[in-house]
Amino acid sequence: MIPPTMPTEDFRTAPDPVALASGRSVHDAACSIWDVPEESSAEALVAAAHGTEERAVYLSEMRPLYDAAKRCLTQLSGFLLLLQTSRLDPGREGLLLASAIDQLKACGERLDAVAAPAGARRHHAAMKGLLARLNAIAAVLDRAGDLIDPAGAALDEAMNDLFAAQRRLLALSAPDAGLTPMDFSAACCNCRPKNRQASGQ
Amino acid sequence: MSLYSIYVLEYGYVPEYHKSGVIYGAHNEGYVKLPYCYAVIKGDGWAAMVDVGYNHTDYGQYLGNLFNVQKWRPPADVLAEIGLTPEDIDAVFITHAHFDHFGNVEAFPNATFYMQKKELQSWVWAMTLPDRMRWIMSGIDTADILRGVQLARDNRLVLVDGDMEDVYPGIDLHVAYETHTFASMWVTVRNDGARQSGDTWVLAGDLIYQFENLNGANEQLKIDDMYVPVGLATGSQINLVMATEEMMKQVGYESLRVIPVHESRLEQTFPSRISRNELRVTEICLADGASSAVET
Repeated sequence: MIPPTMPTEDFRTAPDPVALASGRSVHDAACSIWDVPEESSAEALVAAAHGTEERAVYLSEMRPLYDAAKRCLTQLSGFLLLLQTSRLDPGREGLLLASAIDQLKACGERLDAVAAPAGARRHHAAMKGLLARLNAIAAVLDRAGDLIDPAGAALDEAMNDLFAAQRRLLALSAPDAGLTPMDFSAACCNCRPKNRQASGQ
Repeated sequence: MSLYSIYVLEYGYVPEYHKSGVIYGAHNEGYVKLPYCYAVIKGDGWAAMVDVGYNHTDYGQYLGNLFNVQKWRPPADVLAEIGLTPEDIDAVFITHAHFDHFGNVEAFPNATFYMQKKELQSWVWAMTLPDRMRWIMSGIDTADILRGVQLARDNRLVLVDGDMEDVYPGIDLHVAYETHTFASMWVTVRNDGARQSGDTWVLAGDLIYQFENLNGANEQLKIDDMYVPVGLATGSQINLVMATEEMMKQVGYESLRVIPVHESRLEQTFPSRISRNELRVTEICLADGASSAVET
């Protein structure tokens, strides 16, 4: 029996596109999946004309925070949805809410550590605003989780806040830098259509 | 006796989509046309849809461009081809939560939506995972989950927990756990209304993309007819094959009765026409007394 070995760093290296084209990989040689995670690195963003290096570094640092905010928004929406459509299971849905609150806390701390260059201060502030709004929604749900009256104003308010947060999430998106409300970057359906690549769109 | 007419309506398409995304293991075998469609079940004064596509508001248009979706049209234009409006739709069965199936709920103001509870719960759970597990979260639009909240608020969302028979007369919902998604659903129409039906249709959602998933081949293994799973599975290929077997069993192993909505060759089997919007309208079957929407 051959003893198991620890994987080396090599397994994370994108394969040679020539090898891909010869039929030895799932993904097409030109599939954008090979751009992950490079597509959102500061170097790649500078190369893709995302302004100054400072701005590129900023966007690169914001990408995981944006993703975390997006996921928290979905978790809070899902929590509210499950609250309305099924009996609340404190063991499961409670954990869900606790997870979102923890992620928001960590996200806020990381955001505080990100320096916004001159051209990105509004973006940074808007992100901070988004996190504040999500925290406020989480606090309401945590406090009043199973008490929300389906006909009450509290539910309407929570929903309005969630939709407002979604609008802000959209406003904060920068798809070319990987800040997208939806993530296809790691799906095998990420291989983009041939004619789109050919036309350089 | 046929209770319902069934249509597959194209609302857009990707001209060249990687075949490996459609057929498991079809690496570097080129591209296929991938229509984006929804199905309509039309009865006497009642109509339901299987999935609702996506819209071009919010982020939908960006996604459409990302995937090079061509000729996208809103439901009002697409449904008009069979004499319906979005307001006529009474029920919608969401097969799974991907953006191109669950992304347009607001277009149907009078419909009650049916969806698997586990599908929704699991996507929400997936969002709690760290960034390095982001693959699991692919294809979900946060806005769609939020719209689900609105549906629930309006008392128009029914979360189904497993199979559900006769959700409407002759229409059953079936779940396939851990397949294309966490809890993908298919819709079975027993068009004669009989429990042991001799006229069953299966609307497969994304459990089946194209004909090859039902009658596929493997040159290396010298097999020319077997189930080949779809190219994208959040769950497992084994579960996809088992779900395919279950669907095929329901239709007495007549594979043409399992309807794949991403199949561009439905026209080879069923009457169809191209609409004025250059999208295909396919008529799977007609209810008693109904007139054809594709033949003049």
